[in-house]
Amino acid sequence: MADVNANPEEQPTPTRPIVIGQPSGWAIVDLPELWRYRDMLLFVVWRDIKTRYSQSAIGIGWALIQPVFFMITHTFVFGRLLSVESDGSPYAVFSYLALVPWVYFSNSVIDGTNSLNTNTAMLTKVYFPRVILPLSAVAARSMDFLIAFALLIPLMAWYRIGPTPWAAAAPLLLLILFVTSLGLGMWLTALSVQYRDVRYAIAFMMQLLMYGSPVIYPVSMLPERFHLIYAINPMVGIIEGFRAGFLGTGPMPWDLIGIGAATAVFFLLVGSLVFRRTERFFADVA
Amino acid sequence: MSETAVRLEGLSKRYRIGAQAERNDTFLGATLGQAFSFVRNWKNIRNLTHFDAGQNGDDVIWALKDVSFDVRQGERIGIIGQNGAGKSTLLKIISRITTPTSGTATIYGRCASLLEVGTGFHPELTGRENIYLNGTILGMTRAEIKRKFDEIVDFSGVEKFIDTPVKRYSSGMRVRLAFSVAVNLDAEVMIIDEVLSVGDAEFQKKSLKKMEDVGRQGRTVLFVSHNMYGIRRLCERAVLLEEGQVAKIGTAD
Repeated sequence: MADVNANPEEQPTPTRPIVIGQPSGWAIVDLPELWRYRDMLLFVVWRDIKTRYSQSAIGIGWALIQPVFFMITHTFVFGRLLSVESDGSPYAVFSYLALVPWVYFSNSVIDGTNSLNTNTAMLTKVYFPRVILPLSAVAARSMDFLIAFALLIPLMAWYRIGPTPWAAAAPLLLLILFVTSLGLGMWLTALSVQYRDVRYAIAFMMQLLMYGSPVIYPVSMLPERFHLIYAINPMVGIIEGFRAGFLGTGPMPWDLIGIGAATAVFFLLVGSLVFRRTERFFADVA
Repeated sequence: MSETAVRLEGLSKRYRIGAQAERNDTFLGATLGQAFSFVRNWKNIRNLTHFDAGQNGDDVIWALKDVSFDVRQGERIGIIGQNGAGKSTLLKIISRITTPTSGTATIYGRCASLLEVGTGFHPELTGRENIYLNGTILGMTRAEIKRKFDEIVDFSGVEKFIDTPVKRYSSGMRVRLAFSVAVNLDAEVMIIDEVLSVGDAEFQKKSLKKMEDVGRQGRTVLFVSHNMYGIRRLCERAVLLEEGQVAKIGTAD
């Protein structure tokens, strides 16, 4: 960065010329440019976190309300009334361990999908790496995740459950979760700029998809031969991994996690390709 | 001095006005639209980038057509023209917000655009927080903003309210603060669209003076305005656009 006090004329221009033309073909995200804009990324994430609960009495407590109330409802309806199995653990903790990553996934994909539409003003007025918008939307939800995750400590203490050593795999599961959300967020937001339908579809798709993930039931309730196909949904490996690590519901399901991770990488690749491919039209169609 | 800062070569931009018509309003339409979105998406993108014969019908307008000129380093150049002449489209291309349909623009050096001040301002955040947020959106680093912070606040004249949420500001204060952030950008090429008409008479005078200083520092300024007084005072040359084409290039008078 140039020093303010120096005379600009004395400084050679180190930046190479920027050529604006018609980019063609498929390309992946311009990482060096993203790195130059890292401060913007930080401030946009911070803005999203700070303003989400501003002027609300409960404030950041809203991050807990969603998973906790889901847990209470699920425990009552599915755990008690319908007696759904929970691999030998108390249904409440079993359910909460799935809800924390699920709520993160659902909210961050929805936020990611809406990220370009809610920031149209920025999009049409200033140049910056567009990928910052879905990236920051997904990253900003991590704060909610961490707060909701922290509640697990008193919850497990209450039921006198200790984590297994495999709980150390949590950061890996978290990474898969983040990659999945980011990939889907980039993919869907690029589409939603042109087709607002995506925005309306995503909220209810997420509700449907919850039943396609082991949130209210364990994977073990499904016939064994479907497990590997089921695991194409990355949330299967993530949720079952959390349960195995923290509740000891079984051995770490590395096969499920591996298949889910492959899907996550696929989402990220396709998401960034679609995003790069369409981003030059964002300002025109937004 | 005679080095080129911005070179425009055969720049054209086509917009399709009819694209709106395809949007669906009903649930059924939306669902069906979803199912065929890949087909439509592909068609739309293709239409935006391809020059097939017979596609330049009624729903297509050329906002810019074959615009070429060079701007020398340190030059202040005004771009004038009636509403719809393509001024803003031209600036949008140069500031990389949108891509040209054909032709290229080459920019030598860092480019800062002030197409609209206060982009990304969040009403719930304080003036201080918004300076950082807005500054980084415009491409500054945190360290850079920190160094210039006092200068920015001084120029805006809102010192007393710097830790107040921006939603409590008067509209004039908000605009002044936003302009102060933008004008303190360090860039070799500055692109300015009508923003000098912000604030009261006194602030406008201050802004004009600031822009003159910027020009004197050897920075290149592209300036769009209807305000001929401002153009005459600031710019050495002016480009007149008419219906997307360069009608005249000459001295500001």
